[in-house]
Amino acid sequence: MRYDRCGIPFRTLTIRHRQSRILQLKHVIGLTGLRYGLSWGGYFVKVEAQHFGCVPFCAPAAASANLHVCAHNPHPTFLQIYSEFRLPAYPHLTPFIEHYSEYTQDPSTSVGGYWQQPGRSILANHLVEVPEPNREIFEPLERVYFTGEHSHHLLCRLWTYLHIWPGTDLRVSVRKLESGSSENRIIEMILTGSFSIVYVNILRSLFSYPSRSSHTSHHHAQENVLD
Amino acid sequence: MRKKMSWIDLLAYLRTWSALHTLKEHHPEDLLHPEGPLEERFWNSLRRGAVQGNIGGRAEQGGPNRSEVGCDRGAQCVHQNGATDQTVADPESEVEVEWGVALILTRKVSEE
Repeated sequence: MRYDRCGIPFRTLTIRHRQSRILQLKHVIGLTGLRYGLSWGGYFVKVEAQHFGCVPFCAPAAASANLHVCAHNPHPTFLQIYSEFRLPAYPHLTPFIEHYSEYTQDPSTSVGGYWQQPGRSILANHLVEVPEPNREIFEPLERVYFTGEHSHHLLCRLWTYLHIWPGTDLRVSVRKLESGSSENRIIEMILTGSFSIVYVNILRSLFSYPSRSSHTSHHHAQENVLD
Repeated sequence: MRKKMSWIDLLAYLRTWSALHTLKEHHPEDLLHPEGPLEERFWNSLRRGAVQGNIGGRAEQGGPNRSEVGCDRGAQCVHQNGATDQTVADPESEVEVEWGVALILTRKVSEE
């Protein structure tokens, strides 16, 4: 992955949950902390900035993003969410989990109809709907995905957007990214490893809103090279 | 993001979901369900599906039937006459849970 343009402007940042009344989320945040070396202190969590490589500010959080991340330095920014859980040892249960979380027709089998919307959908869609910021204020967004072996699912979702949104074609762009590489090679890169890092700088331009012209999207695709 | 936890911890996690809390506000009768509240029925179905998948049962053909969430029997079968039920995962046993993570990064444009 490539963070060389980002730098690490400070050592720690503070994460505060926006709905501190939900104390049970302490546990969930604690899990995140275990992974990234966070230490829990009341409602606030401090994290070593270098664990993220590139750092944070107060992001225009999606309505129900699980974590609102603020840093001491207001300039660099990030927004992090975790999406639907999986049980990697039991991939056959994934559709069952999705039914419980997302199915909206039957409250006797699913909580899906009771999420706050559209925030939950934005979160479930991995923040794809978060638009590009004002270019006069912020640099173009970089979108980074951490996935495991269930990334077939993630990839399919991303693929879906690429098909839906006009002017975007990941296949073409991937070929430009790695000359001579096949789509399968890219997919293999994503799927290998128990905790693969999917660096999708190239998708930044592909995830543009439909209002952006296809010319612009492809132009950006040519400019971004996957390391 | 991955974490090993017990099945009991997974149930605790499920109980943190805001959607579940909202559902219970709209459907307080769910607490009176003879097989337990919705999150427990779901959790029991997961545990059963995990075991059945391991032993080559029905789960390999697509997981537990969705309709089972409403007619779960796992919680009642954990112990029968003192014997451990082998059809559901032990609540104290560990399970690996994984979440996909998405990051959006940017920074303010330099004023210089």
